[in-house]
Amino acid sequence: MNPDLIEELKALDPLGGRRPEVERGAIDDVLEGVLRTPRPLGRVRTARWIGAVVAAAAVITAAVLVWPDNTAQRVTAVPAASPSPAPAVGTWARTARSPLSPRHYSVTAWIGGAYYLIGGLAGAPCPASADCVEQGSPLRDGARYDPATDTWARIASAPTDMIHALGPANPYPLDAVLDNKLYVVSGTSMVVYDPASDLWLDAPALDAAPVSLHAGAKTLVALFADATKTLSYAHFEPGRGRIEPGRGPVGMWLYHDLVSPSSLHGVTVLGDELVVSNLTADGMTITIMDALTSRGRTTLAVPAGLRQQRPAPVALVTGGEAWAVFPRGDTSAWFLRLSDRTWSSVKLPDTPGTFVAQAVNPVLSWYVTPSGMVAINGHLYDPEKRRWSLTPALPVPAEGAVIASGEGSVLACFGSDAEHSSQNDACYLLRPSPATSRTP
Amino acid sequence: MPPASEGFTGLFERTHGALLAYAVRRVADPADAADVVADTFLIAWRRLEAIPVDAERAWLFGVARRVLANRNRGTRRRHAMVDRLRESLATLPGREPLGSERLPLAEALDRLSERDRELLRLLAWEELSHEEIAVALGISAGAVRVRLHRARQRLQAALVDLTPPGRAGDATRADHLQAGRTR
Repeated sequence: MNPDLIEELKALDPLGGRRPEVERGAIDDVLEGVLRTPRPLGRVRTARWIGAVVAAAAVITAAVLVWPDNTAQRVTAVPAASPSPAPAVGTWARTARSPLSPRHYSVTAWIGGAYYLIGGLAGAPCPASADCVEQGSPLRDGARYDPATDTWARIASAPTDMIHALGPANPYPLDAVLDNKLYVVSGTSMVVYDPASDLWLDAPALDAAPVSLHAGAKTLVALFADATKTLSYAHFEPGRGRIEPGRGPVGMWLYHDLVSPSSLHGVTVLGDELVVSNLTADGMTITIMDALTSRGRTTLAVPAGLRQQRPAPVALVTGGEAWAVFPRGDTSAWFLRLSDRTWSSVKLPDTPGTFVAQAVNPVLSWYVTPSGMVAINGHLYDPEKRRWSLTPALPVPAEGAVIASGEGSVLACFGSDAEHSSQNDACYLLRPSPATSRTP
Repeated sequence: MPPASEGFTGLFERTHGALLAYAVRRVADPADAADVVADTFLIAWRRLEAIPVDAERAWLFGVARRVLANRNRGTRRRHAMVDRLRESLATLPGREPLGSERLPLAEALDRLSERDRELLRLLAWEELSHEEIAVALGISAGAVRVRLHRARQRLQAALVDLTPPGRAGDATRADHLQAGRTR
């Protein structure tokens, strides 16, 4: 290489050949911060994107990762070290240490290939068998977890307390993800978190406090119920309306009447179709309509086994279909396939599986939906394949655990035992086994 | 065997300056380099046993290169541990404007592919050897020599294109580069 040309290139160096001068304290912060991060133990992972070739040494194709000793934790089904070069499937693996303190009822989201855990209530929840009100101070801090690299990072704290409404037993969250942004409704106010900029921004408020919030393909849907239980809803159109300086994504809420008195109701959104189930004195009815216009209403006949049950559908998207799942019929779970409006069912497992917590009443279920499967009485089931996935026991105490599902995985954090004698501060990741079993 | 923390602390003290310089040179806003450094050292801490002892700086540069690529694809993390470093970098003096005599070379460099630019930057700015460049880019030392030769040729060709003919002083540069080509 022409040495004079190299010298000329050096003159283009933005730093002029010098190292940046920064205060030593700032450097010490980085060293201390890294050393505080535990190193994982006992798993061999292929170094997929670090290909270091040294002329005088062998090619390095795997990095030995060592997980920390977890015997101090009261957990179950944590695997021993696996020699597999790929992330383990079908076993829970402890993640890198989360920067978040133990908590429950956190808002969780899966956005852009990562988990987001935000807010919640500090510590353990009030035991189900105890006569007490909810305890723990509300939290606003949050963190992002990337399962591909097993790394956590704090995100900007929320501007308001973030509590996943009504806890994991209730399938009506007031948070939803649309267009890779997390929308959270508190009362009539809405804020939106944008992971790309790590910013929380105000979003257009609602006219009334909704009872549930759902995300479709292009819209959000907020459901309202008045004192007479008459239902109405609003859908959110991003991008419409007047731009106001300093505010977040522009959009408008557009309101619709449903006029559907009921004693109990449930809603889910799939694509941009609204699936509304009502339980009346005459039994359950299900109506499907276009969420953006409330037109094109179709009322469906409901299977006999579902007519008198709690009408809370769960949205599920498998490889090729969208489903409204009714996970708790009398003896079966029911699946409504949206494409052709047909029903199928599967017998409820006799014993609860992993994604169910023991409680007095009702049974708390986490309706996780990883890899096109849905938890039915705690067992993962694929309605398209009509098969179950064999899921290992939850590695964290079930009470107050924060459970979230993403594409191809489930994250479980914290939780405490029934007597609150110990609180877990660790998180675990599961990549579910494929649904191939005929029985749960 | 010494604890991992000792080994990492030694690595950190030997390389943080060079890694920070590498990152600052490649981001538009120097403050963004702080998170690149944090991400890189976090990966190094977790994969300590994989770092080659005779090319640790280059290995870190290779990791940082991929961290930067992920940031360009929209995957960005902010680490609280680098809050002070970020503030410190934000106060760095601005870059000196290039003299007019340097502009053709800067433009010629811009015309090259990112791969060629990175090769030349690692050589000229980070002052890596061919073997170290091989580690940083994940290729063989032989491939480094071939690619550097071609990158140099492309840079020279671009520079000749950008140098107006007949200007006083430029004949010396063109002759010099022409001579270099035949070595």
